[in-house]
Amino acid sequence: MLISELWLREWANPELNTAQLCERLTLAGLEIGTIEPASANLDKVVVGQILATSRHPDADRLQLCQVDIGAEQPLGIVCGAPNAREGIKVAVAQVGAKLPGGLKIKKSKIRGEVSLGMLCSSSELELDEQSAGILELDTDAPVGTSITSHLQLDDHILEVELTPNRGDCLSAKGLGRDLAAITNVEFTAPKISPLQPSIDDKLEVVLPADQACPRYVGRVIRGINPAATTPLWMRERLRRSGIRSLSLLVDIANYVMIEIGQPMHAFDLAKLHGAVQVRFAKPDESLELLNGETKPLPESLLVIADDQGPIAAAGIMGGQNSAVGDQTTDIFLESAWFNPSTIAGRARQLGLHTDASHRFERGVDPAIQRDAIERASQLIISLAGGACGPVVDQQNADQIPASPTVEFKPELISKRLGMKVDNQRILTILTNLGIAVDDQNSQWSVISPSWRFDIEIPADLVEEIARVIGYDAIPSVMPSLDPIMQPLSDGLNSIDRLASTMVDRDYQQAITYSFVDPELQQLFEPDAAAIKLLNPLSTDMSVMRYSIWPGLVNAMRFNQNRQQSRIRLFEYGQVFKPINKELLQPTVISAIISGNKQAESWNEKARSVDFYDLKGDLEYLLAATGRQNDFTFVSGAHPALHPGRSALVLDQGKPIGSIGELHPRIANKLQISGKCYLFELTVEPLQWRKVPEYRSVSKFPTLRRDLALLVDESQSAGEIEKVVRGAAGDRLQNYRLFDIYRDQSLPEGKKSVAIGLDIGDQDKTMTDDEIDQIMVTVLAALDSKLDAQLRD
Amino acid sequence: MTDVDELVAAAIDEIAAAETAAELDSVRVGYLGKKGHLTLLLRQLGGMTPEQRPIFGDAINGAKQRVAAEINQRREHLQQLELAKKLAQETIDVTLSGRGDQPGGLHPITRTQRRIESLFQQLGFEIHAGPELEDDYHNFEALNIPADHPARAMHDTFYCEGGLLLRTHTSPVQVRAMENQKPPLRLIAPGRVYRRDSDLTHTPMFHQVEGLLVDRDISLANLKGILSRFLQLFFEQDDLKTRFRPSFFPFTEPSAEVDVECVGCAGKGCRICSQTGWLEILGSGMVHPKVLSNVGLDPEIYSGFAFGMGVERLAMLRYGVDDLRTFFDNDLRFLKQFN
Repeated sequence: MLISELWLREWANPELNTAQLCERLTLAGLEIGTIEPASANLDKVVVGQILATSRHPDADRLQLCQVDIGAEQPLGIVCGAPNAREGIKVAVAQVGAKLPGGLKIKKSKIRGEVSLGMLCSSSELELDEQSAGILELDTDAPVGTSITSHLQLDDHILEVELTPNRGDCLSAKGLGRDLAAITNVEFTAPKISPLQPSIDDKLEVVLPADQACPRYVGRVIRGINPAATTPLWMRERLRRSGIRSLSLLVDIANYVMIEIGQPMHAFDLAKLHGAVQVRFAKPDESLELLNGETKPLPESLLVIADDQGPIAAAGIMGGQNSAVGDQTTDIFLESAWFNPSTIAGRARQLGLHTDASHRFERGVDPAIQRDAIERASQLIISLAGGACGPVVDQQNADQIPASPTVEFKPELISKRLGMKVDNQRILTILTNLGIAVDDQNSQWSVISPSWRFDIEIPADLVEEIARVIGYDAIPSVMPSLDPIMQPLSDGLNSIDRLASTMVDRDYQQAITYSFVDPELQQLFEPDAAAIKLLNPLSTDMSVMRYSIWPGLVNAMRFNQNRQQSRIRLFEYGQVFKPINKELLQPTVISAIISGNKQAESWNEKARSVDFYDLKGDLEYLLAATGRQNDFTFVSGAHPALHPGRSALVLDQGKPIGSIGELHPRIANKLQISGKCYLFELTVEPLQWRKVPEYRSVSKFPTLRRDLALLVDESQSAGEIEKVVRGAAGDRLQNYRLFDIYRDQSLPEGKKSVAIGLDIGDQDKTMTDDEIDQIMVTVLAALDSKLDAQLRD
Repeated sequence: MTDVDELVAAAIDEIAAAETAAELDSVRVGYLGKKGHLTLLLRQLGGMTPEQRPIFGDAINGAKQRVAAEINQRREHLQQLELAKKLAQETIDVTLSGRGDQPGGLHPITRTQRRIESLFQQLGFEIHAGPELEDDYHNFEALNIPADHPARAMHDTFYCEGGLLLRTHTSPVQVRAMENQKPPLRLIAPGRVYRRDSDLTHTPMFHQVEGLLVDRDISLANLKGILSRFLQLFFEQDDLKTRFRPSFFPFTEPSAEVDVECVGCAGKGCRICSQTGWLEILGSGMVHPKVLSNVGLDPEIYSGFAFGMGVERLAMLRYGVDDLRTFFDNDLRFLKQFN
């Protein structure tokens, strides 16, 4: 909300300068955002009166004006505005003035005629965005006074950023009331006296939905001058409240809203049919709203209707069918109270947010509807004439929520604040805030004022006391906490440990969005049913990621497009997998590499990364679990990976992720240069770390035996190791595959694999015979299971 | 005797003249070998009187020892020269870079988040995690934000099929913790959160660390104590000024917005703080009694405070990053600056 500082000070005027005033409000929870001057510097712009006009001899559209600015001689000023005419009061920029747009006023000759200044339009003074002709001041404006002083432009526009609980401060009166309370100054509320009705006309008001609208105050006013315009002072106050002047009746409704906080509406009486009723919308009703949009009305929406149907969306916006226009002479004024829960969220459902809905959903004081209608009537009649009928105040008092009574022990305040506040101070603060203190025994009983919707429990009172005392007056005290020693499992890897492992292997952590492009994701996971966002920001961020790969591949491309060809990125985070009607959100860790293995260097020949580079890093990561032997790799196709260069990673036989080269089909489609390799693993199994189990170190030597085996090309290293380990038993202390040899001298389709076995016993030195026995068993198993023989 | 002294003098000259191990060896053979000059002199002992023999013998042995010592000394010297020459030949350029990889690095958000975590862990705060796709109850209802509450408009929620939503804060993690644990509770919930907002200063995904402390007799003064100390430690500035302002969150009462003195201008007013001298940095407040009773805790017995901070904002202020969106570009030239 924007508000004029001067207007606010009419209600409460503490002895504080603008900056202090704003800081006080901010520190009381009524945050002041920007503070803007009400106008640009308008030095040397004064009130003048056109004494006489005559045609410019050389220009049809220009007039020569004699303008009195209170000086000895009237000024001769050339003016092109059609509304420049004898008698009107105008804003005169004298020679030497500098207008907000940068224009400097100089003595000049316009087509041969001397002009000693300029008559200004409101837009030239930046008091309006647009204007037709020059600004006409009120007839009683004192000639010669500076425009700044005449229009009270020595003012500031304060931007009040109110939290949703403080709807009571959405008016000059409400903000002034709180300011008075927090600064302990007098609150000056002008008395609003009722008008005597001079006609009998009234409209019947029916409240069938009286829980949603328990009070509706209306009044008929007839004989309004449709040509009456909004006076400059009101336009100025509206402007400083950020509200555009539209027409007198609409301006008055807005003015009363900003002044005392009651949103109002004026219907064109001639367009209404029968009684006014406040009810919920019926099936299939729609309404063309004042903004020109026609909306179907949901049945949860409260409407104002007449006999023919809806005429307004209650508390949100009026309808076009009953709108006042420039011919309107007779109106029906509305000042109603709607239950906040009835209005909350409804405007948003219609795609709207209005000043009225903003106030009603936060809660309007249910005690001010009559004041508002009297204030508006008074303004209408004084500015546009007319005669008013009696006020119809239809209400079901039972349905107007009573102000809550809160019971609390005053010690609670000191306890919750952590500082001593004596009862007298509590009493003063509450009373200043309009909170009625009923009972002051050991248990106090207080009643919230009608304008507050956020005082229901003792904690609310704690906040009221705190914000008036000032949070800065509350000490900063470290609590005395019981020490807690957290468990620290030896069998768990933290995610931090896993991330550090990747960092140690020269990976840079990436953070990519959790929502991705469905088409991109489709490429990686053609069968995945990803979770869709119902209201995405854009289509390329419209489904939840099923895997981190699309994000990492995008990050790689981003860098490749910026001359970064050596990519080593990892990321961990949640992915979102709906599986069998259940939504899984596992945390996974993924990596991507591409480009050269090493940063370009003098000492190593540049070489592109391959599968085994990434696998080495992955094994390094797995080693953090201390149970490397639990993990196996089996070739397995992931749709996003090269079928011949990818593997499923198993933990004790259970799949936990995949590793491999990005499928060339995807690489082509994404125009990725060079090969890239990816892995992704579920984090949870990596967090299980083996707790060491001590075995005494054998005192006896191990013996190494090497075997050169001739095996089928298709036989995997994993298979060979499995067979050897199985056959050798627990005296195999160490196994390694140290060479693979392919040559034309070997039989067709065969390769030579060299393995080394360290064999030893925990309790004795093994004899050659015993070792030979093991080797015979191993060779027999290799022969029978893999058709692998010793090479000659 | 003269012969001996002359021979020794001649040997010393030859030793000194030897430039290689081989030359030195031939000098050794020439004097000390089987047919060496000094060895041959010993043969003359046979022709001497018993009185002369020991005198002459001692003289020759003394000469042999001296020559041998000279040779050894010269040999060591030559070996040293040899070694020095060899070492000189082996000299490498030690300023060339070493082999192997450099370490990578954590993302600045993670780095910042870990710092925040570590500071709170010192006080016994435990780290909790929770799902990012949440239900309405844990993200809103349990936190005293019923449907249509105006506060929901502040959250700009992303909704998903099946009634779930992307959590708008990590507070639901606290709710889940309070459902499962009894006070005293000290926990922080770091993680990704989502709001439907994207412009210069907002990304639709960002990171929060929220914290919760529930115990007996926790006061607003305690909230101020812990949070102001945290901020001083985070920015490593012991006299960092903090400012607590009343605010509104549905799940806390009283609520406080926390500002720190602008780290860009020390409170004088600059572009970073929009000339105010203050930076809004944390939302906090005393846990709302309804939230406590929603999770089965008696607000008459327990009280506590909760707080939440944006990790990106803290990282930007700490490291002087001026564009929020760079955090999610994953540009290596950006990321590597935080290694």
